[in-house]
Amino acid sequence: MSKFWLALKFAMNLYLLTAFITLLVLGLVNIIKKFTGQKA
Amino acid sequence: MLSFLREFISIFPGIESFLVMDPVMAFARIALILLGFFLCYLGYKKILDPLLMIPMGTGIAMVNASILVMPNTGELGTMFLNSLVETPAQHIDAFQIYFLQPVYALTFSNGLIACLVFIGIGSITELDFFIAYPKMSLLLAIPAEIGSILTFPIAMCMGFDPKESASIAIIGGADGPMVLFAALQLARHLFVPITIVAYIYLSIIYAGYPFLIRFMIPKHMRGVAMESFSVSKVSPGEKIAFSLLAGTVLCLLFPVASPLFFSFFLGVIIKESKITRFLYVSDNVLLSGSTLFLGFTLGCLLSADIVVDPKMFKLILLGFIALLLSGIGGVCGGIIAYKVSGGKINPCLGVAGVSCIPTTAKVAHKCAHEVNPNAFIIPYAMGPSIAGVIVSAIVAACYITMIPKVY
Repeated sequence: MSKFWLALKFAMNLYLLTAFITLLVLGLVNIIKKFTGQKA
Repeated sequence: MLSFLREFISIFPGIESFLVMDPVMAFARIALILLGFFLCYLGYKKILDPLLMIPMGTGIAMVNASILVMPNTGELGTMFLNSLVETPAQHIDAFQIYFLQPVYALTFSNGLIACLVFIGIGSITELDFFIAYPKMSLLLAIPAEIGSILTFPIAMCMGFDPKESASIAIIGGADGPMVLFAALQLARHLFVPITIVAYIYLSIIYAGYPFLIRFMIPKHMRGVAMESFSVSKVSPGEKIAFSLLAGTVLCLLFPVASPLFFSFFLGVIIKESKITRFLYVSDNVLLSGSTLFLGFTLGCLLSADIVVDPKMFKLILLGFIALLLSGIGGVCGGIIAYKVSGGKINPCLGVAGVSCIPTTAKVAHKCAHEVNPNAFIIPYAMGPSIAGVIVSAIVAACYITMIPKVY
């Protein structure tokens, strides 16, 4: 059972990392839109 | 009489090979030939994606029919390719004999075929809605990746090692080339069954996800027409700037998955630059050609010994779990978006976040349109669908980078 929980913990950390990188991509789009004058 | 019959059969090495092989394998071969016919039929009838199922089904049927006792080694094999050739000396021999060996060695074993498909996908991708509503698109794509996350511990518990589990979990990202690329990086020995299971399930998505949407989303929510959203025209310059910047940053963060990011964003840049010659090559030649060889070679690689492997049954189950969980996550994300926006966002858009561009966008539109004929949500669904491709690539990159470090 601990194998499952350890793997789940790893996967959830990876999910958080993915969400963080996704927000970074969102930030990039917003920066581009700021330069081109469109509302994000 | 018996010796005459044996003599007669030996004229046909394909039939003769049935007599010399293990009976279980012989039955598996026959089953695979029938499976190949069935996939071709489903592709022809457009029940499954014909672009992949017809070449894959043809490959599965014909390669399993063409097994013979190889004259040079005395072992069972085919003239298509010897997929386990690894050393340079063996390659030189194999290149001259097996007609698919060059395709396998030069495009499959290094993941190039996935990148070629990705250039093609990039060159047909419309980024307008994604750039116009990036927050909605990306936030809908994150919950739709939950299958890629939760399948990992389930696969570990079912006896797969971390690299194999990660490769299987990426099926939840619903992106065929990504599954192939990740499996080649993490679990090369399982890349054939994993990718075939992924592609077959991805073909079933169009038929399966509507049931999930109808089951989870009440009818009045599905009919939201999203009239308050307008898809404003985004300039090509913005799309090129985004592709360049996002591609460079993602390559910087995850160099191991950089071929995928590079290929996808290169396709987008070619499209937006309006270089018609390159666009013709990437859309008509690269995408069509690589899809044909992808399906055909995968079909040829599916031999009887892979199918009788007990791991195959676990893979089929895990692939189903991964895509089901991603679909549930996507729908939940859509319902949350509906609630947060005060009923302005159609919750069917959530399922579009499960990548598999453009199938999931079509599914979202189909489910909304059948409830409200005025709901034309496919342009909006393309946003989460593209975000799904990007987020799937990020998940795959995280797995490829983190697994060797942690396990």
